[in-house]
Amino acid sequence: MPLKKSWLGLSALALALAALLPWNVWDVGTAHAENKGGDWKQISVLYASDTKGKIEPCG
Amino acid sequence: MARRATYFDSVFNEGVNTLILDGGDLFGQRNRNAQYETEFLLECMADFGYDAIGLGEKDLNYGLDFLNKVVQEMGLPFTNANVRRIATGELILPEYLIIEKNGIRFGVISVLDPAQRMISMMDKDLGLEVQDPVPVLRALLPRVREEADTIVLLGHLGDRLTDTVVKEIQGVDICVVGHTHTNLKSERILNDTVMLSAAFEGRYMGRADLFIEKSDGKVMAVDVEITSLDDAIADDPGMLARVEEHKVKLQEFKEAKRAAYPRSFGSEKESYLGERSCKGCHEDAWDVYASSAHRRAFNTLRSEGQNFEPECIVCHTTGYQYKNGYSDESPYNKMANVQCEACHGYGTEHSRDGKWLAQAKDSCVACHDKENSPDFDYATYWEKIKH
Repeated sequence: MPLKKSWLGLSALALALAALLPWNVWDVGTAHAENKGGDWKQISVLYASDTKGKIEPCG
Repeated sequence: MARRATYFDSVFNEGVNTLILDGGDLFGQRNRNAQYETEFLLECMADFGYDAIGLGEKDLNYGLDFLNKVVQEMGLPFTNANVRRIATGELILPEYLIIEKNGIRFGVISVLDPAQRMISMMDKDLGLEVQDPVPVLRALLPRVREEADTIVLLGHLGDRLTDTVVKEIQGVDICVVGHTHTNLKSERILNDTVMLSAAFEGRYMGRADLFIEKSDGKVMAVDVEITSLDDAIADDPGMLARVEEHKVKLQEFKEAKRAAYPRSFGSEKESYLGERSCKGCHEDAWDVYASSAHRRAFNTLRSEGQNFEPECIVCHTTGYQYKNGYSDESPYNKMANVQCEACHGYGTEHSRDGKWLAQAKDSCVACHDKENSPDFDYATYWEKIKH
């Protein structure tokens, strides 16, 4: 299955559509995405690089 | 570090599954103060529970033994697939890591840019070679794929080379870019690879919320957020107390080092006047000095990040162990470099009665010893500064 460029982009589209619907009809959230997608697993990757020994950044 | 702790806590409190990665160059500059600080940083990193850390060239600044020590004693999960010992051909770190989170097996691989110089303040020659990352990854990816659902590359390659490598290599699902000062603030997909970058000096943390298809490990959707660890984020009280305690210890460490080089020679009544004072009457001698390595001595230290190391400063400045000699505070910092008065003594004495020290040979060997200047020969070296 091809990779979708951005969940953020999909979210924006979903929110735009949601604005057209009555309250409580549209269930926006990560659980919705996982249920619709089938066997999708969510993981949050936290990352950084080039800390260069700094406990506190200069300046 | 105290804000990073707050950041991690806030994410952990959401109850999400996390994979914590670092793209390398964790270690500080090549001096003992920075090493002391790096040790503390690494202790904190170990407590945060990092899952994988790529190797940057700076992570060899304190030598291979130090790196191995932090891997073994602190349990820090460094990995690298293209840095080998020249003598044996062995990799210096685990070739890759397999990490299981939320039912997904992540295969984490790290490669280093061969163009980066690896310099250790402990060893003159590390005896290491860095292989071309493209053939290394081409050979390794199929093997890792047998054990993993999703492939993560920690590419300590900088922006351009990372792009080149990812374009040439098929099958990387997620790439964290290292050796960069760039934040990728929104989603970027390159050849079906999710590209992530958050830099530098601990100023930012990146977060990518990924949805991964269990059957083939492919990333189906991604949402990226870069957080600036600025004043808007409160300090974690526990970590802040730890940082403050560390700062006190660091100051004690610095003072103990300085105490090994007491300012015990010379007289409080005398002063160093500086190189420009000599030039007025001794222009020919000054010209020789100005073009010599003695006048670049302190810059040499600074370029190596060693300009706060007493054992180095003593031979790269003037009068470090003498009263009113070099210190890093004004006006004494004007006595950086090995100036005229390093060999000839206080300028105030000379200007008062015309006396000067003519003990060149003894002055030379104080610093040009076997350890620091093994090729030193007085007759040859004197010709370089004859005046």
